[in-house]
Amino acid sequence: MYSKELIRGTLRPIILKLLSEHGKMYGYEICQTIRSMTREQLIIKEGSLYPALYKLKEDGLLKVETVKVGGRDRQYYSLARQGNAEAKEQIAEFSRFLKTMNTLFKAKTDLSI
Amino acid sequence: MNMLTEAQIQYIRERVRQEGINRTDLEHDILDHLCCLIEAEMEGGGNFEDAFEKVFEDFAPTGGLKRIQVEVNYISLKKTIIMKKFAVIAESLVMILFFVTTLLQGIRLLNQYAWPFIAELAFVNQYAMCLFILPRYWLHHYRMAVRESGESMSLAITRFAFIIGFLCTESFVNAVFFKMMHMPGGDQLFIITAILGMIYVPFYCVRKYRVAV
Repeated sequence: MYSKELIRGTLRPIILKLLSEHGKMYGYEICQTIRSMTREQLIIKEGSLYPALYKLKEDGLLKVETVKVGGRDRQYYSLARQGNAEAKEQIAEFSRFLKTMNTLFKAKTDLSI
Repeated sequence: MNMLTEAQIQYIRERVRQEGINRTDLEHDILDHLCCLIEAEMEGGGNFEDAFEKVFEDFAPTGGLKRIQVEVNYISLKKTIIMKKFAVIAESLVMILFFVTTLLQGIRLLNQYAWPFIAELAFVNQYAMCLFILPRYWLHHYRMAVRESGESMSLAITRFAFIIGFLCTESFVNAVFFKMMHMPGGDQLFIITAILGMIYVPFYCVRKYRVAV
């Protein structure tokens, strides 16, 4: 399990990456996919997920489609036209960031030895 | 998969609303999320009541749902907040200009130097005051009054009182302006202001008294 602060900063590229790969997903599905893909190392709480989704929607990166499923309305999120390019850019940026972090922490470990 | 019944979904919906969720889109998301979690919980053979209590407690500890809505609302309202800030700055400028021109008129400086565009500026300022600032001010206070007073005064009476109050201030501002610009009708506007004010003040006092008591 990781801290809430750490998850918050990474949630946006995670959502964009998942949607770019899966097409359309709903909230519960996003949480469960992240959970199973990371073998329960990363558990996204609803209190973090929905504000992140609504922010992406507000920024015009996501679009929403409501479908009636099992007697309730389910909202499917997918990348908007503008979101595709932005998603690629943010995923690439995040990958570079991870490499940088990796280099930084590896260097630190080597120094400490 | 253990699908929930209509009645069970309705029960969850009511509980979500009780928690203070009033945005339809967020209600759809939360309701569906809760239903999925409860259905997964019931897979092991548990009953709805136990599954609901367990999931709801975990999902929405005290005030948890409301906090999500507050955060989501803030995101959605960010653009509105920027527009409101802009409106407040514009309003402040108009108000400052209004009082500066009133002061200059009071100390007999406005007409003495024949500054260019001063008359046009005064008219623009007056339009902004009458068409933008005063309606916004009264609408804001009307909404506050409706929220504050609740059942203490009927909606129709509150609305009537605020319309009278609004017209009273419009009439007063125009009376001052007419006098300043030496236009005919200023005195009549003062009389109208006084009549409207005499109608409005009792409403104002009664409303304030009821809210206070």
